[in-house]
Amino acid sequence: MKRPLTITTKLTVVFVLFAAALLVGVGLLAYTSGRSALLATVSSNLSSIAIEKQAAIDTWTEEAKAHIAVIAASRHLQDYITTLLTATDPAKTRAIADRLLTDLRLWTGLNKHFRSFMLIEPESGRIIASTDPGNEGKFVEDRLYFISGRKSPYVQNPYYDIATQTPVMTGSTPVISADRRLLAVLAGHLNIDELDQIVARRTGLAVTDEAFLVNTSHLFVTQPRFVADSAILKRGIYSEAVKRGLAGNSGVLSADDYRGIPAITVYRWLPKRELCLIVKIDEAEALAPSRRFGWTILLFGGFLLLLASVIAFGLARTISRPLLALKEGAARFGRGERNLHLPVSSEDEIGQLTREFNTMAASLAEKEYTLRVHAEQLEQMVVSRTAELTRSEALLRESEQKFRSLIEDAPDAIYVHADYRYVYLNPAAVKLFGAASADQLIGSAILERYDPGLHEQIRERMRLLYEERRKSLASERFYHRLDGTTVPVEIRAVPIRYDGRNAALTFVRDITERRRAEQELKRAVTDLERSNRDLEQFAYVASHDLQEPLRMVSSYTELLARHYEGRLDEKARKFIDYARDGAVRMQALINDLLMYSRIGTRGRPPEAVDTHALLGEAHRNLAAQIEENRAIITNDGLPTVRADASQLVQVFQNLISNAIKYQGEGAPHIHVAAREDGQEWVFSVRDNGIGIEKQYAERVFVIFQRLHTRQEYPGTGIGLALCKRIVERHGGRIWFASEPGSGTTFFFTIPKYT
Amino acid sequence: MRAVATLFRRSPTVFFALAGTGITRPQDFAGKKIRAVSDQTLILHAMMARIGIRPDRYTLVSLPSDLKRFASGDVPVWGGYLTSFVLLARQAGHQVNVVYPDDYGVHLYGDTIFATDELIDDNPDLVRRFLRATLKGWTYAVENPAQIGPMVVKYNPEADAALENAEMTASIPLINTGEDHIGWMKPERWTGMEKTLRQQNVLTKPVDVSQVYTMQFLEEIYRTNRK
Repeated sequence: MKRPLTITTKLTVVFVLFAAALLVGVGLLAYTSGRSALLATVSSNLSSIAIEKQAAIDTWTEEAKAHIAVIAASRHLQDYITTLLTATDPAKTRAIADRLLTDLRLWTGLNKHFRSFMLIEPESGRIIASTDPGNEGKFVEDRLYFISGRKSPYVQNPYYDIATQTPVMTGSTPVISADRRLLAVLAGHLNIDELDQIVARRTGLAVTDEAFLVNTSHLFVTQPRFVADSAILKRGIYSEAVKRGLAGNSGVLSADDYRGIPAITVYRWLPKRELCLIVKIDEAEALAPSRRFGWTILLFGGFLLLLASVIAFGLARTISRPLLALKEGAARFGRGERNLHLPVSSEDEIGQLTREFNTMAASLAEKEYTLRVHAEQLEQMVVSRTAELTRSEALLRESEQKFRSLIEDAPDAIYVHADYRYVYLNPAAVKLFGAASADQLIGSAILERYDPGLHEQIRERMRLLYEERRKSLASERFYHRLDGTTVPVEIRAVPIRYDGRNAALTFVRDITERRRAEQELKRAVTDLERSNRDLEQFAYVASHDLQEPLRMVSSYTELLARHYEGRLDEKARKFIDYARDGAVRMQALINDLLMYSRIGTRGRPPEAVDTHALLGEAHRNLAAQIEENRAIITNDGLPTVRADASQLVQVFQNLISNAIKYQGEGAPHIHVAAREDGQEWVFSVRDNGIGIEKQYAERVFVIFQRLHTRQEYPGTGIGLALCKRIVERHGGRIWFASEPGSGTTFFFTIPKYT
Repeated sequence: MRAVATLFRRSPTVFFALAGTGITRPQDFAGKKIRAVSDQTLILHAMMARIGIRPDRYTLVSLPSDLKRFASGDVPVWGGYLTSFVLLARQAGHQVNVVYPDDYGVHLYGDTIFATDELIDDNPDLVRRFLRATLKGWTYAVENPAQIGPMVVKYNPEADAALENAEMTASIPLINTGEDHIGWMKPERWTGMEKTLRQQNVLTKPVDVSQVYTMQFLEEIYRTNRK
């Protein structure tokens, strides 16, 4: 991360930047104005030189013109020409020409304007005489100096001469006779070197200055200093200054020269000569003082800037020192130092800030102390809560572990499904489905385990469960196991959340065994019922059919006794009595048996009966026995119940009869009562008889079972069996409570509504 | 068809003789055998006519450019190119006097660039660009004659670099008059040529010289083309 600038640095930078801006501004102003002044001076100097050179060139050409005009005006020359033009003898002509040329040669040579002269015939342009003999006879009718020279003195700008292969400048003038006839044109080649010297002449101490002339074809007319080969009339120059000059302008320009070097150039159009004069100097040299001045400013400026930086730094420190002290104080505070009081060194804003800081630090220290106390308390709470949480978590884990092992080890199949697919199965479930592992089933559709015909129904029920619109579902179904077999199961399912989804936890019990047991029981009951019916039928048929032969035995025994009364000895009578007695007993047995068997087969449907009335009927039926034994029979209020009236009379009758029969020492006292007990009435018949040993609790209710001999107490041993059968037919029970010697109480129940 | 620029503004055709013969002027040709072929004949007749010497006063001979034959002197005056035959003769060590027809009123342009009227009308830019490139090349050659030899050798290894340089140097005054731009043409020169050609019966009837050349391209190029 970038380190932020300190206040000292910022302030210093701002001060220094300000100083730098000021210095740069002033420096630039000084430099540019100095440079402008220098440029103006240089331009002015160059212009002066150009003006001076222009004047010199003009003077030189004007002098040349004047000079040749003076020669042409010589009467002597005119005479020669007149003679020459009229002479017919070649020898004489030659002689005159030679004399003429001798005169003209006096005007030629070094330090003279002209190098050579020629006289030209004004009509044809033929050279009639020339100081250069090779030129005589040639025609110059198309040359400018000839054409112009016929009218007035003229100097032709430099051109390239074929014969000499050098640049040449030619002056010309008409030669006019006293009678104003154009006799000839006098022309002379100028010493062009003089022009070169005039232009190239340099004054002053400059190194890179130069001057040259350029013609309208952009060709150098005088030799430039910095071109080694001869450039005159050979090399072109197309610099901006030349273009401007040749366009007829004069002025100053800072631009690259023909070498591509920046130069200050004065260009000047010489209208008389139709040439462009260039005077120039390299910018580097011309502006060298300006550069030196620039360096001086830079150095001085640099020094001032350094000075300003030092001052700025000192100033910034005086501002930033108290701030730094404050910062240090804040840092110490930050490191935990609390007994902090920073010295207040001034009364300005920073002093006030320091004071505020001290106040704030004290306040913060106090608050921090309070906070620390709170924090410690909080920490303590956190520790204790954490411990609790840890304990809870351990318990939860343990509970989870228990629950998991409970589920995993459960003998019943348990599985979870969500979105109609298995998501968990315990080992018992895996085994139940006949899978190798839970993975084989997880993700598969639960409906695959059901008969296709049930799919819609199951899906609907599961949906209700998922949506928790049912708290639980229970059903018995057949599962299709993976091997294709089916297994009967009892299913209970409850909705749960599993992995954040609505799911169903399902408990399944294989009820194959239970089903088999139930079926066996059912079959056994059916068998038993059939057997009972057969037995009853047998008993009924037997007792009924036995009565007829018994009546015959009884009747004929009676007839025998009556017919042979008095004729039989004692022994025979005794035998007949035995037979008659046996027949009577048998009759009683058969009657009882018949009655017993009729309970199941001939019973009437139950109806509402007043048990008090029924007790009265039993009383009447037993009137003789009651009278004979002086028995007292009492009763409490008795209810109305739904029952077979005649059978219930039989029960009361048998119980009362037994109570009288097995009376104790005193007269029999029998009390009949009834009480409500839930859904049934409990009747009781209490006596004060001999009582029954506890071990005979079951035996007394078995048919034809007797506890006493017939001699002790007469009877067939069917009475209580009959009672038991009647009570049970009505859905009740019968039992007794007895204290041998002091009486017995028989209890039986009749359901309130059967 | 029109001329668009003239490269040799003075004809390189000259007449020359061994210095020993004393022949320095066309007047000296009278009664002599003169070797002249093709357009040299026309130039010779025009020049001789200018100084008033009729063709029956000199004898024309047609010979190949043979330096040995020139050196033998049996034909004293030879017509040829200043830039080749004269140069060869001088290089062979002969002192040679040269007569320039230009000095005797015969001012003919040499190598001239022409373009058809169709090309000028249909594709003036092509003409302009061709001409500009050509003139740029000649300007360079005039300013740097010593560079020309090696350049020619580069494209023609059999050429003699020194000779090529010499030829270029000799060509400079014909190409660059020092008075105006390279390639520049003058109306009076065209008029003069028409006159000369009619006098020599090359042209049998007057020709409107303004239809023979155009300054259109030169003016454009020298107005805009500043390197």
